[in-house]
Amino acid sequence: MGNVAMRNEGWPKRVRRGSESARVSETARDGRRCRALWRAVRFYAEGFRGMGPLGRTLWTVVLVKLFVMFAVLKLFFFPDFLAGKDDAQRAMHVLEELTERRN
Amino acid sequence: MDYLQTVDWSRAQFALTAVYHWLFVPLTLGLSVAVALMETFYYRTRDDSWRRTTRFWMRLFGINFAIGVATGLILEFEFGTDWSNYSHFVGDIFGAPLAVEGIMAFFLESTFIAVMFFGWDRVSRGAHLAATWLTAAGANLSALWILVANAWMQYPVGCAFNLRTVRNEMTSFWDVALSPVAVNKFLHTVSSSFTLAALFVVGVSAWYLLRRREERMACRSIAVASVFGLVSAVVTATTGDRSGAIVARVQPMKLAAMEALYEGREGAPLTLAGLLRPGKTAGALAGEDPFVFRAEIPKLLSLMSFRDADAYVPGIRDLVEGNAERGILSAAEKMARGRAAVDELRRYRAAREAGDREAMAAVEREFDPATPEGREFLREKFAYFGYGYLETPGQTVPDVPLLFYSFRVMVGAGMLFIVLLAAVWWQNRRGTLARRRWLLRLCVWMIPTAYLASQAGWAVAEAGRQPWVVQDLMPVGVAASKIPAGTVSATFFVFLALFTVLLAAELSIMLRQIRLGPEGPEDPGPEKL
Repeated sequence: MGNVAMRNEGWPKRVRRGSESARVSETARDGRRCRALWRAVRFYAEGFRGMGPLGRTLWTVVLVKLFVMFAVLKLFFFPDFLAGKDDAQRAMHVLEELTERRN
Repeated sequence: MDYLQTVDWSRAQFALTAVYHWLFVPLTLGLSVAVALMETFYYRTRDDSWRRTTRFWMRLFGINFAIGVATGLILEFEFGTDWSNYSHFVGDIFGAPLAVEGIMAFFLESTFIAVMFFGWDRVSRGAHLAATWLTAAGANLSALWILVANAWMQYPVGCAFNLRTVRNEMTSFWDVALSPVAVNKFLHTVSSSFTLAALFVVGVSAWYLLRRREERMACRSIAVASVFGLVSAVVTATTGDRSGAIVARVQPMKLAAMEALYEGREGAPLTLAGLLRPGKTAGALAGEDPFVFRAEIPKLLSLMSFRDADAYVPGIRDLVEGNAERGILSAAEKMARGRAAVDELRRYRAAREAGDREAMAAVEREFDPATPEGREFLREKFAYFGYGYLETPGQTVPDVPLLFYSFRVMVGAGMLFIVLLAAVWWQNRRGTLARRRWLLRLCVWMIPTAYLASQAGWAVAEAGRQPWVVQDLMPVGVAASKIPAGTVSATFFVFLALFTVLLAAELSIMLRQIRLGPEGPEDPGPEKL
């Protein structure tokens, strides 16, 4: 009986309890995931906000170091030597190197 | 383009990067575990002084971690630019462990390190302790993979050469990951890092005791670190002994060079200490005594290498000139076989460029391990592929003085650490350590000594592998990219400046934090532990 909606209220003739509860569970899971994600974000945000001078100094060092490494060194000084070559071209290049070199 | 200059600058750059990187890594590996041990005491006792102690060492760990993090990535940049032939030749095997290392390091450590630093009053004590242990586990597990990769360079197994792709391809992940070289290298490297970190804690704590500051915190830290360090140092010595036995089998030239053993012998002695005649390798190869003096223990090298006091240990001359009686091929014979393998590669290249499929197929059959001729070719010729690039047999000999002295620095320091940590533990337990000021000063000096020993170990491992970048398969000179030496030398000096600045920053910040000491009021003490 509980599965059959009241006809004179214009509801669908039959509502499956299983599908409704499945929708409710999925919504609850989504809610829990969002809350967990939000808690993690808050955890990091509060952690960073609460950092003392030492923490800020270290993060500055880390960020400057990563910038120098990736935006300067990797970009200008360390191109991938075999970049732009497909597998066959790389194989051919190394084959040439191995057959022309002396130690 | 002077290619030799490019090779030398590339080697220098890689060595510089590796040396600086290894200044930060062992303290991260070991101090993470030391901190986890101390926090475990806090968790069990609920004693706030343990919390204070843990947070202090965690702060120093954080400094070292922050400044050292990602310095290893520069080594990966160098693989792609300076060592492109090597990267392609071994990329299928090398790439997987490095990728896992990067993923493990980044995700595991980064996730839990945040809880470790931010979560003191935000998560439960149990959850925080778990995060601390997981950070330590993440750090050490990420080290596992780079050590697996390095072990493969020393002992290339679990792979097969694919002629079409011109690269070695992994045939067995477990053969690579669990090779005896890999397993022992991981245990030895990690335990030596633990020892270094323990000596760091003991040394800094000793400094506090010398200044009669933070005596309770110092004694508690020494109580943990001395036991942690002593166990680690004994494991380091045991795995070091095992390393010698493994090297005797898979890298006999490295062992001979470490011992400056030019003449192979049955019942070979172990040289405890000695002074080599400078620049006398050629003379030593001709039969002259390479030593000015030496102190040796009879038969010990044979015993340690082959677990047989009368075993024959090949010398450098055996390995260069050959010894038919002992079944040792000469370097010249290996070079001839290697050249035959390189010639087949040249034949393949010529056939490929000419579009001669029949000729290509003939060479492919020789490189095919599924055929009898392929198996014989791979065993008899390709196994010596790298020798085909050498010009003289003497090139197979690494730098004997460097290896000889580095090995003795490492082992001598290791023995000293065991004795010192035992003495420190005992004096601390009796409550008399604070009065032994000479021992406290010695503890402080053990901090740079531990770093020196650690670097010496890597010098033995890497310089001992020369001239190979992959043992027997690829010499260093063939592995480097054909790029102008000026490019490499320029980045060498950029790195020298960058790493020196980082090191100066670490020392400055670390020393300041040590001078400041733990947060909050000093614990009353000292106490007898």
